[in-house]
Amino acid sequence: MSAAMSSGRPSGRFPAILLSFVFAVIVLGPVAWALATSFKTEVEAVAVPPTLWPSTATLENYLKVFRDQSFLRDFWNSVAYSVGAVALALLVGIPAGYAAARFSFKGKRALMLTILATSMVPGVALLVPTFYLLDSIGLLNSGIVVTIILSARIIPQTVWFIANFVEAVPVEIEDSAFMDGANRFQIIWNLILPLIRPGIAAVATIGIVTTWNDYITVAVFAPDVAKRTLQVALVNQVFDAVGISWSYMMAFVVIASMPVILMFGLVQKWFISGLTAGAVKG
Amino acid sequence: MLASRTQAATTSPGVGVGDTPDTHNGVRFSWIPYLWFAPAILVLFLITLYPTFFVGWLSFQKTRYYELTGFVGLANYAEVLSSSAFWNTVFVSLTYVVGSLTGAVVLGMAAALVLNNAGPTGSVLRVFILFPWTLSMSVVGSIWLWLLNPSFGPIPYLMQVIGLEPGLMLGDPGLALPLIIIVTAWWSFPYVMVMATAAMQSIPQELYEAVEIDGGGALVKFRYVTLTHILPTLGSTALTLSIMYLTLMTLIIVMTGGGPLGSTTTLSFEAFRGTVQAVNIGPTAVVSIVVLLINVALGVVYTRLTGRVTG
Amino acid sequence: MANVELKAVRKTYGTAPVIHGVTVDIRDGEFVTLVGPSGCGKSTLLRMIAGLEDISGGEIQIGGRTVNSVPPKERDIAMVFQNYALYPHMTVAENMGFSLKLKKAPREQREAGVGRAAEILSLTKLLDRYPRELSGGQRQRVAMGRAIVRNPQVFLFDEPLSNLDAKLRVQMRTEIKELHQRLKTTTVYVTHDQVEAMTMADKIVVMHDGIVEQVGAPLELYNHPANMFVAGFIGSPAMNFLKGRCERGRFLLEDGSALALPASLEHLSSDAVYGVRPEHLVRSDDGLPLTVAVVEPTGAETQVIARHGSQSIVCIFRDSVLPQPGETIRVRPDVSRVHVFSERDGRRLS
Repeated sequence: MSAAMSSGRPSGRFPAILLSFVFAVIVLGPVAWALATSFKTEVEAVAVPPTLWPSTATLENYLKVFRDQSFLRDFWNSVAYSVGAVALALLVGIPAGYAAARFSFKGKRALMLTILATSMVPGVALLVPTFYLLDSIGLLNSGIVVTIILSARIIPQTVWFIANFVEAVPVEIEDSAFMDGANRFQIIWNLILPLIRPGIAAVATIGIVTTWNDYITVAVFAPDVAKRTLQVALVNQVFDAVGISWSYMMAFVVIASMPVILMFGLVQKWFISGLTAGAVKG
Repeated sequence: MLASRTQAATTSPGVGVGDTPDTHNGVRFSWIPYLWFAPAILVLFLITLYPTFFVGWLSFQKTRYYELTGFVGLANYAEVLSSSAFWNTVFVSLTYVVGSLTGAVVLGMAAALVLNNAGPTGSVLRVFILFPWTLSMSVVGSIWLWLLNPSFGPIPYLMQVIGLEPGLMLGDPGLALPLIIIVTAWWSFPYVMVMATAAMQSIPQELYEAVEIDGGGALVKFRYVTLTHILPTLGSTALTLSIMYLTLMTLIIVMTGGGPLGSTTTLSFEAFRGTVQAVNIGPTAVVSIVVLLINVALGVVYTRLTGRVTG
Repeated sequence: MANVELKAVRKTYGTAPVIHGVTVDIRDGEFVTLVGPSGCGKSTLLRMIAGLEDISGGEIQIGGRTVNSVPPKERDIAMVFQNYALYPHMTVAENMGFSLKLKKAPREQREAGVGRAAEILSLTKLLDRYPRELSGGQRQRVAMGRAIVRNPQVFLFDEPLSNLDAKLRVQMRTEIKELHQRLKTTTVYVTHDQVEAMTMADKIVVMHDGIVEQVGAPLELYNHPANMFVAGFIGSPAMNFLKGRCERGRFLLEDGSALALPASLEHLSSDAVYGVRPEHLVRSDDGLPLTVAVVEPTGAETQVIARHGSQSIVCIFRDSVLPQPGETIRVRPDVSRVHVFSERDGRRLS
């Protein structure tokens, strides 16, 4: 570990490269082990001593997951909630973020502070009151309500990100379009949205990952088995201590993570830029 | 987190001009900008703000299960704050947050420095190392539950091989919390790494060259250039993580269910347990408010630190 | 084609006035520059003509029509912005055709309009490129092309050349002027660069702190500045100002040295400021003694920064005999080119 910036001499990098692989093993080892287990038979998964690679690789665990009657339903719920939540967040976040970036008006600061304040309220503190309120108006187990709650969790960051992205677009471009005869909606549709597309992709990616990974919201506010997501189904297996099959569970883990893995693989640049945007002071 | 960069706000194309032609001179009051915010504010009000006020109200009610039986003033507060179980929960939360944070920051900084010096290899590995950060808490919990399983898990087996007695692992009241802390640090240090790396890469190369010309070595470079520059980022990252740890329940739900013997029952887990078990939601409301207040306090510090909103 | 009339135009932000009643008459086909230091309100004024800023008071007419409450797109004007404001995700052709697309013009009409503008600006080969693939000068031309396509009554330019390097700036200056001579469209051009203003304009409007200091043809401003501000702003290097007093047909500096006054001011007797341009100082044995501080030859001419007491004086000489730093030279103002300004309000007295 010398200075933060590499000296550029490849020979000097050897220890660093070696240590980098150590970190990679620490991080990816457990994941790799889980992946390997998912291809083992139920018996081999619990063999002592443990085997590193499955001696007879099998897809049986995956097939079992897919054959499960509830899998498609759980999967669909996961997709519907997370896509719905992100779509709603963008729908309400784009106008608010645009207005935050482009309009100056009385009370704007108060509005932005309100949105900031809501981002500081942790979901866990709202479990009891929300459960009580939903229960009293008969809206527990509603997919739409769960989607809106998930969406509210990502709306503050969506507004803030969009505002930053819009601010990065020179105002003159809008002035220019304005003179070319575009109205506000044409400006947003034809100019702003195409120009901030990478930013929207980053916000959406992070939003999908956040909402897809949620367990608590769905488990508490939609306890009905028909409304559960893959995450809830996975945790329920852990609770089902009697029939636990580790190889089956690891297959489930892989499948439940697959959409997020794919998304991460495809857009990891956006993902990283979304994580670091605004957090680093230049 | 959120911000308004008011200094960049612009009046043009003026609100009012173009949307509706201004028929008289001067700045005219317009409802239009508020309408742009209305949908977002409506959702946030219904889902976040109203329940926030409601939990405050709830904390002053006498409750039995989910039934309200009248106003009791501060009785719920007195009950919660005088119970040793509550203070034990506070202690567990604190240990959990501080322990995980220490682990994540140390590992994250080390990884950032190492990978930054590893050239292109480092850039490639960085992406892979970030990967677990995207996994859900239920997935992370399930994987580690399996790895730490005392009967068949590979980690207890390895411990046996090197002559350690693994014991009950997560079933051991003295080991459960440390193990959860390790898993949390494992899951979150890549986040610190990415943030620290981004901050490091924004440091102008000339500063290092200037130190070199002034005769400073690697240690001086790290202390006076790298560290000074990434400290604000590290601070805000640490706060973000503290907030996250404080409100994190799923990992505990999956791995220990708050046990054994309450050794992993954090404030947030208690708020969750109180909600689903619903024995008496008044005290649960109080615990929720404690979490809320700590969170808001950390959030305010974060806002001050990053200079957001103040413009 | 149209004339533009500004009648007592005012602009306030909240309670802060930024433009205090500007009246300017721009004739049909004229090339007018608005020039002044940054913050003088020139860009705001342009944006008010464009319709991008509200008008707080007064009246703006384009082609005889009051446009105070007319939105930009109906004012029949086009504007070129400082940073070009090209749409980054559109090709050159799409950029230029965007306004026609918004007007829902048929495709053939759009292509014809874009093609014509591209030809005028020799952009035809670049029509399928994106702005990021263009050089600064090319982007500038696309921005102008976008304006031309709309065939407006008035062109507005907001410091269009300030992002270009010096050489390109001179070249584009010529191109814009040629374009104007070809299209003869009324043009309002904002710049902070007085050289740009002088070389391009039929008429210059000098602004300062939200008011118009003087309006006139370039040489008129150079030869007959209305006040010290215009005198100091127009011309490079700037005019030398010497404080002193008019007395008995002579101008006495603080140390008692005397300078000649124009005949028209022979009878004046008051404190005043004596203004003479660097290029109107000539070496003369009976002139004012100056100590040379810095000598800056540029080839065609030599700029000499010299001191008289504590007063710094800039001279420009065309002869090739260079004075040395520390040397004493004597210079005499060309009395016919000298200006005298009121000490009190800076107005020109001569």
